[in-house]
Amino acid sequence: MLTTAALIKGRGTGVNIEGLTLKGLSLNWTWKSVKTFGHIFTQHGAQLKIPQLADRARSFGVAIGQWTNNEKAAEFIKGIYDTLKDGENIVDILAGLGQVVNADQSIISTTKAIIVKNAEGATNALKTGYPIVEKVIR
Amino acid sequence: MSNKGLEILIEPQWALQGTKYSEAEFESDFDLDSVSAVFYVMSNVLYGNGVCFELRISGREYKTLSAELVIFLEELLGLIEFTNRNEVSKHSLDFYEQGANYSLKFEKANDGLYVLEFIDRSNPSELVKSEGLLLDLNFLLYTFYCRFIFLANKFCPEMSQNELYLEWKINVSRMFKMEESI
Repeated sequence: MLTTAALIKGRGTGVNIEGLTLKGLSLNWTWKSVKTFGHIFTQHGAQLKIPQLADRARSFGVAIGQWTNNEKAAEFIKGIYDTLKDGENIVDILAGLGQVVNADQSIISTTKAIIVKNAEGATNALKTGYPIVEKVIR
Repeated sequence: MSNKGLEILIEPQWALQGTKYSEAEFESDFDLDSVSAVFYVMSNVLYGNGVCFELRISGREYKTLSAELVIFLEELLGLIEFTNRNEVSKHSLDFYEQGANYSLKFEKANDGLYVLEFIDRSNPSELVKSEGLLLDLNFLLYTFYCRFIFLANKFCPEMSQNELYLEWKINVSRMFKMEESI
């Protein structure tokens, strides 16, 4: 079980409670919140079926990342949110939290992910985020 | 530079029929706390019913799926603002989702003309420049918007009543200087 305390690496400025700044605290950290998570779970959530992800993998020629547990992934992202810069961030994730789906529907576990943070003022706090095959950025 | 420029379409792949794929299949998954969540449901329903989003630059089609339609809808208001407001001289539109990384940079050359720089970052050598008339771009966006609204009304009747979506429509309509929201 991933716990928030175990995952937090926040540095933060201003109000800092468990690694989250005031801005982070104001977000709804339920994985179902698109306003917080953007496309992270709509496009890469555990609820998606393997053939759906394989379709995109086939269309674009890249393996597509999937979180295996939306609640745990949301908790993980909440924990590192304050350390993220705007744009792409490559982060380590715990084994079992993410996988990538190939065009042939085969699955590979991974321990890396990209989290893309939006600049302040954007509709959604995060743009997207997905597990990736190690050493492969996109 | 190419004269063909930018084409953005929302097209049924086959003759429109009754709804085969309903919005109820998606809406329970996510909180409708952002208009993006509404676009997500609508895009999936439209794709499920054979409606596709198409992006062409200088005659070449770039791959898109429902995620790219969501991104375009999220960015539409900003792009219309670029075409309609004199004080906005530049606009960037980034299609960023796994597999696709397209960047469209618009810049006004004068009152009536814009230059578009298209970069396909999933293919680093791909850089295309084109130019076009602002009025043409405005008309392209207006046509896209009207078609999207029509299709959303037909296939996503419940989502079409969502407050965030209605607010978005009002803002887009104002930007097009329409008397009332369609």
